[in-house]
Amino acid sequence: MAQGYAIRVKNVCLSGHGHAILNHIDLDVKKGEFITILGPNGSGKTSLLKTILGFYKAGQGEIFVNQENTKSKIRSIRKNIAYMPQRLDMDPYFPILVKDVLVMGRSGKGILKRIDKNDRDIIRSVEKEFKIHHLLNKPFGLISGGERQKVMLAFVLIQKPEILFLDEPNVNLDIQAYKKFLKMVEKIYIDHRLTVLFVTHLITHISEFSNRIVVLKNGHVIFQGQKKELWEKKDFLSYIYD
Amino acid sequence: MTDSILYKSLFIIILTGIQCGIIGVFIFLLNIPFIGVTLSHSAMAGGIWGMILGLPSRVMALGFSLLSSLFIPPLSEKSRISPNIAISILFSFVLGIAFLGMGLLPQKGVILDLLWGNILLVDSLDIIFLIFLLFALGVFIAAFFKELVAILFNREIAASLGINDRLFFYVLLFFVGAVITVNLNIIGGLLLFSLIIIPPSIAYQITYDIKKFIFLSSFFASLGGAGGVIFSFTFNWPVSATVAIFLSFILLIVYLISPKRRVYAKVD
Ligand SMILES: Nc1ncnc2c1ncn2[C@@H]1O[C@H](COP(=O)(O)OP(=O)(O)OP(=O)(O)O)[C@@H](O)[C@H]1O
Ligand SMILES: [Mg+2]
Repeated sequence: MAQGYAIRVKNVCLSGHGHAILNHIDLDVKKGEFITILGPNGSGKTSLLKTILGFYKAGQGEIFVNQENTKSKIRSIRKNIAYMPQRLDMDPYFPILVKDVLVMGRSGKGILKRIDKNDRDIIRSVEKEFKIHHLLNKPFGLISGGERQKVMLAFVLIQKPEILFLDEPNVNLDIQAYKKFLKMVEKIYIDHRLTVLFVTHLITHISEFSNRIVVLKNGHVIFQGQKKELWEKKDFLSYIYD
Repeated sequence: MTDSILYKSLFIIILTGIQCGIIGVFIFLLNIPFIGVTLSHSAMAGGIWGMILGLPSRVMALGFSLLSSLFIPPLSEKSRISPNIAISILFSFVLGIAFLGMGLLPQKGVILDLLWGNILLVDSLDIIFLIFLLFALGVFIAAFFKELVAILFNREIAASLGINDRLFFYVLLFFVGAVITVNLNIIGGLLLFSLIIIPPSIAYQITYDIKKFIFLSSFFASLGGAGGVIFSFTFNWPVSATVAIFLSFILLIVYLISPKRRVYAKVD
């Protein structure tokens, strides 16, 4: 595993419609770390991911991904991060098949670069790993919520990223499906040596693989550490959620 | 004589059908149907002011319409409003400009004749223009197909892949504007609207596959256009009206036998 930091967030502030969304956030993520970002609804988890991805512009502070500043190198940075959004705003009847969504995972690899044999091999191996052959010719908008999460996880993996952002992938999944899903995330984390930022608002959804848990509340980082330390905190539930 | 006009009209309707069918897919998927009406009124405003200022009104119409198509994406992005609202704002603005000019123009009858083209009056320069535009559109789509699909699917996803989503979105809308503007001048508003709106709606009844979707939309635009032209020559009906009605009938038939309805009717 390569040494050094995958992500460094330095004193980042973000505001929207006149109020603060993120307040002086500092976060260092080493390469190969699995970070769980935990926090109640509206605490700024999604905003933090979007700020790192450059979708939101930080009013203050700086962010580096692989030593590159997001202010100047955002497109090349995005090519190294695969992002699974919390919600996909799309028309369910948008005419696209699952297999074409998967091909899209290779679309950012260069202007005028055709989807070639190498791309197809990558896609095929992920299809196999995820056992989603039966879904390939179905319309993406019409498969079930759980199937969609699986396809989206395949989609992000097909990008062959170094860093994975998963924003509440637990939505739409029942407990069994979620456990399976988390197993898959853990497997690809290990097999592909990724750096993972895993966002959730449920403490029951924390992966055993988490190296560190970062708790956000009202746009502040209120805790960073091991799961054990968090558990040892007195009244940690009300500490986080009240 | 009539035959040669018929063949010429068929040739033109197929050329314009293919490109209208393609950009119709973009308009359909971006859900911005009013872009056609808005740009046609921009063209009208440009033409009117051309006449007032003694400039070539067709060039002015083209320029004005292209210029306004360039305003739509930044207007919608910077003010965080939906593209449809941005288009509507632009619509009221260009309509204002057009009406202002109309008040200053002595002979009003010429406006519509001049701006709402007629397929029977197309000259060879128009045809060269159409061929060139179709070629440019074809190259654009073939070269950037994967980026365009990603952007139409979801702009944030496209951006997260490292695609320059803004650039492609702007160029895409520019092509939509260019095709509408050029074709509007040549075939007129009614024919144009039916060729950009109905064919993707027909294709939508048939497939979920984006490539087939684009192909079918172009195919039905050409087929409907050609069928309408033949009907109109046979019965001596007005071309635009015949094509519009002919296409609507195709939509109705395809809707009734739609494979999508058969497969998913039980599900939803
Ligand atoms: N684009 C925006 N403009 C203004 N305010 C925003 C914007 N996006 C988010 N916010 C606000 O920022 C705060 C944090 O939102 P965010 O979506 O980051 O929360 P979250 O932790 O992801 O919540 P959830 O668990 O519900 O997904 C909320 O109060 C939200 O209203
Ligand atoms: Mg969120």
